[in-house]
Amino acid sequence: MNRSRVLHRRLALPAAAACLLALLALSLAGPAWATPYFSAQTNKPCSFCHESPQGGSSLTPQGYAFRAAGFYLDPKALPVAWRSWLNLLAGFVHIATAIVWFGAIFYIHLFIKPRALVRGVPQGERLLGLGSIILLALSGAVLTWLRVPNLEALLHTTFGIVWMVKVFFFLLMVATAVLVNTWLHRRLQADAEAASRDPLAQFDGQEGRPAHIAYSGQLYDVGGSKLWPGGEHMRRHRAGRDLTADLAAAPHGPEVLERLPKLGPAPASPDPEALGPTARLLVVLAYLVLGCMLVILLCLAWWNWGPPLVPAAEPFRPQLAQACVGCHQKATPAVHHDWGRSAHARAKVSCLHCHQAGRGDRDIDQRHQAYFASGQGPWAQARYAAPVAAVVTPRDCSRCHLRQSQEYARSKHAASLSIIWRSDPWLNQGLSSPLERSLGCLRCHGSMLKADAAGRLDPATWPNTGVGRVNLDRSRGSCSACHGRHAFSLAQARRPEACGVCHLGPGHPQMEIYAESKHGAIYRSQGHTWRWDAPPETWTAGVDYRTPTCAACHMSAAGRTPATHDVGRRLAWELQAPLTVRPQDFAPWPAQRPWQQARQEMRGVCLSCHSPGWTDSHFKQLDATVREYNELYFRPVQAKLEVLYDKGLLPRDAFFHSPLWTTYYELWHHEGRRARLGAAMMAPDYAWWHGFYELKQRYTRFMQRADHLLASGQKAYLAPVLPGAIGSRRPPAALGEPSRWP
Amino acid sequence: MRKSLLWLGATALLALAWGLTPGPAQAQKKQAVAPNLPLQKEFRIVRSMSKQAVACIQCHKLVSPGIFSDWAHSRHASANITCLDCHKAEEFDPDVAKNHYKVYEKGDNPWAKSEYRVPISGVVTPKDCSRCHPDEAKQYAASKHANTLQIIWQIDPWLNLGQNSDFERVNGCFTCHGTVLKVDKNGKLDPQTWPNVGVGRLNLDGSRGSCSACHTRHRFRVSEARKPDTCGQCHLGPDHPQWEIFNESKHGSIMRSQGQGWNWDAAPGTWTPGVDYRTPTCAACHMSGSGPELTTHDVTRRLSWELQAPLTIRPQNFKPWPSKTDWREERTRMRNICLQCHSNAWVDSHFTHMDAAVKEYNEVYYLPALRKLEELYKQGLLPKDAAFRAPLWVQFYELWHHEGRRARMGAAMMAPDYSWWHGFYECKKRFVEFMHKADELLKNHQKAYVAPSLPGATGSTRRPPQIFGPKPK
Repeated sequence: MNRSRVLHRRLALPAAAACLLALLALSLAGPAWATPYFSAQTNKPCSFCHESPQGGSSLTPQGYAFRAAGFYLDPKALPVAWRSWLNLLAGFVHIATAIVWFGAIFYIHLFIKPRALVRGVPQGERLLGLGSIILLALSGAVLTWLRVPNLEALLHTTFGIVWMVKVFFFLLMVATAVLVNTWLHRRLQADAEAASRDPLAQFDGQEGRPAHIAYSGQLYDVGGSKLWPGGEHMRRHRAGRDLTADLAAAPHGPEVLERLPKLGPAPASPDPEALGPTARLLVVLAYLVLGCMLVILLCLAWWNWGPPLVPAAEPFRPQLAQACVGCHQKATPAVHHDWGRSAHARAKVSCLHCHQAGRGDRDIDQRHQAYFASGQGPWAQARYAAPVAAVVTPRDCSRCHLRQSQEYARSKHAASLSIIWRSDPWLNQGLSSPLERSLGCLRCHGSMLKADAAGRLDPATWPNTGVGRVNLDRSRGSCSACHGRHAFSLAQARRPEACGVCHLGPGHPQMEIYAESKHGAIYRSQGHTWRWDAPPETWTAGVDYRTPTCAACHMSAAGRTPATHDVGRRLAWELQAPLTVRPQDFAPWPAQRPWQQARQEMRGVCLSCHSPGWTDSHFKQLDATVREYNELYFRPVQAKLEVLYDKGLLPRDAFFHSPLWTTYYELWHHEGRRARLGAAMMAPDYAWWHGFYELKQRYTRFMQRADHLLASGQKAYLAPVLPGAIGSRRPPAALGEPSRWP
Repeated sequence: MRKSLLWLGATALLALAWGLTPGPAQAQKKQAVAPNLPLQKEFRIVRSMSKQAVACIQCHKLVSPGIFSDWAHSRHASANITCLDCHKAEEFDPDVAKNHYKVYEKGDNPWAKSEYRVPISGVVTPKDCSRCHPDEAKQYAASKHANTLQIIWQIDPWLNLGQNSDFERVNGCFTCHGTVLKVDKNGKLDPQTWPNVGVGRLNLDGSRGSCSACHTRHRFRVSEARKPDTCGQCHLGPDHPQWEIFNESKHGSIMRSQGQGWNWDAAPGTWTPGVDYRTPTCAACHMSGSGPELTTHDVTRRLSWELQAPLTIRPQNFKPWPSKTDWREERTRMRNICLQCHSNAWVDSHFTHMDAAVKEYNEVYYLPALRKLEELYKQGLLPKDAAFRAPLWVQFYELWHHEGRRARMGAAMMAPDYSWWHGFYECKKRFVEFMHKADELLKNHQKAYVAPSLPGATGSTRRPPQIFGPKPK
């Protein structure tokens, strides 16, 4: 009873401290940005990213990594098999060791009492402590390494802060243990030795010495007693000691002493209850260790059940969005109305959900920041100030549209700037001017966005909504390339006109080819009656539309083929390449999957409306056509070009300086693509008249000219100057290697 | 006691029922593997369909939901016309789908049973359609459309000189002009000839053409065939840009801007200018009934010139497929169509313009170029069989086949941009280039360049015996 009261008193202080800390933490926590949508998309529980199992507020290291990666689910943040097993092993060792060690400490405090150790810490106890410390430190280091990705995750998460507290107290325990086991231990032993110099102690009956005991100040001789063989009684009590206390606990009373010879008053012995300063220090340290241990246990509890200590992100304040809407209604009424009719507006997704920048982002519009301080209007007030960026990137969109962003990020679309830098002579030979590039190529392939210190976007790189744009947050692409701002209509992206913004013209006339195909013809004549705004992934052939559009075949869900924003996923050929190759052999951007899988997926789309016989025959025709283009047109012309190179009649770096080389270029880049793409999408006019028919003319012209040069040994004409050939030959350094998703 | 037993029984039953109901996890799992099937309504068959027809519908609802939904929306479905009414074949038919028999042996769904076994053919021909649409099939069979494969085999140098490959023909020419369908001994259609819905396809039952070229399967909607986009699948491009010409004409421009409000679905034979539509489309002028003119599926009627021919001639003089009627008769028919919306003077003046344009093309561009070409032949500067191997000959070809057609058709359908910029303007440039080069060769007595070979010149030059008989003409 008495003991438990003491325990209560001892626990009261840490418990009160814990409650106080919890209250403090609760007052710090802010509202959350994230939505349950993430959880649904990633198939992860809230607790994957959030420390509270209910979600919200502070983040786990995974959550931190997720946010730092622009709300991408970085596979590196997911535990891989060996990491999981190592985690399990280290965790088991850690917790088992802690239970044993802490158990020993508790045992000492509850049952043995620290003052029992004043004669020195027993050997076993010391070894246990030392071993536990080593094991705990090692396994803890492994666990930390596995769990904490970077220093930021340590400093800015509840887990990290609690971890630091825990480690501090652990180190305090280690320091105490070191002190107790070294200096203090030696001091205690010395004290014990001094205690053993007690005059009574030499009469212990050992080695022929007399055996005396003391009781109530009287000295008795037990040397002659049969009950004290070798100075020991019942193998428990030893001679040479004061046994007053022991006798009180013995089954017999002091009457047995009357049978022993009385030697007179016992010599004064040091009071065993009186502690020396060293022993007192030991007791204090023992309680310190207990305190540390309780704090560590509190840390464990905090990790599991404690309130967050760090708010998750910049808090989102709806009243700021009201200011955006209120002001932009007048400043840019069309943007406001477009948004007002969008699904975003219906779902209360405001300007800020997409445009709010993180503190310190490079593309924060400083002029817009300055506006809040200007006082020019009811909304120009400091309390509405929020950092905004004009450019909304796929990372911003990924806050809600995670899967789509991930698929987009691994598509040829997002990589299209890298691809042309790796393959296009206009760029890597510097043959077009920066202006020509930004007006032409980069409109669709995307620019490398740049901003000055004031957050002003470089006019050479902006405006741009190219699918392969490299954004300041290192994400690639622009969702508004296809989902025009600010309506972001699903119906718009399902129509071929959305794709036709870029996929048209002499070099890649997919739009014209589609328009001329049976699919396109039916789309044009019947499309206005179709249901274009069916919810995502429910847009169904035959029900919502009669013939597919670009999106229907290449992106939308159909039959058992799942929807994707990776536009290259269902392609079995690289029809745009000079020599038609399989996607996995396309050097500038090799596909991660074998072409047969892509073909199977595309076939699945066709089968919604066509029989297997029809579909397979179509693919057979396509494959034969591709091979014919490769073998009959491209390879002979390329071989001829090589002969011209080898004979020195055409320099290898002539490119567009040479009209002959341009003829070769247009053979594959213009007519060759039209023939192949026309065959793939069943547009006879493009396959033949704009394709193979033109190929034959081009082929004849090229061969005629090349043969003439070879026969006469004459050098090919080279223009001395190509106008506008002033562009850089080097890809922008920041382009780097595009991140790939598995 | 009895009461408590009753309670116990009821509880046990409830527990059993609850246990049998799929839990949320099970339901979710089901949903996860469910394909993206059409969200169609239950198709309740209470009409008099044979059980085989029901089996077709129910099975294809699963394996090709797009086809099912398309058909279910069609007039055919409303009129109780099932898959079988069009696709049923006889056991001995050459195009019977032998692979499809295997479906009935699989037993992998309730409809894959031998009791539903029926011979079917994947290809539906005008002969099949003629069971219900005899007049349309008859008119179609007499048209240039149905015989277009025969026509090109008689005149086209690409085919007759074998200067393009079989796959180029399949992807290009034959997609519109049609293939000669072939099956192997297993009843499997030759991928070289199928898929194909060309208007001149030669079917295995001897009929010619494909109704789904214009009335796309499986909706077969009349409104679709009335729209220019349907014709534009084939009548477009550098050499026969009727679709582009229509789009650029006043007719086309009004249709593009107003057409969405017109009554495209009027019953056959009742589609009326001014009432159902404001300006005509391809079909309105060339096929639909209008005023005193009856609807026809013979697109050759109402034409008074062969505007696509090298030298423009009257249809009765077009050797590969001479018209059986006099051009004046057809001119009157077309005139009657025009008069629904235009005055006599307007119409007659238009025909005067057009006839003048045709004559000018013939006399000023085509015949002088042809005479020059013949001179080159005579002098031995250009071999007659060079054709597309000679860039100079290609100039002559494109003069009539590309620009010459654009100029004439642009004039016929009142599209100034095509008539002039894509037409006569280009004709002039081409004419000057051709004459310049030819005169230079004649002056120097230099031979025209002839490429030693043309890539892909591997196509057969043998006219299909199914059309021309076993001995090539």
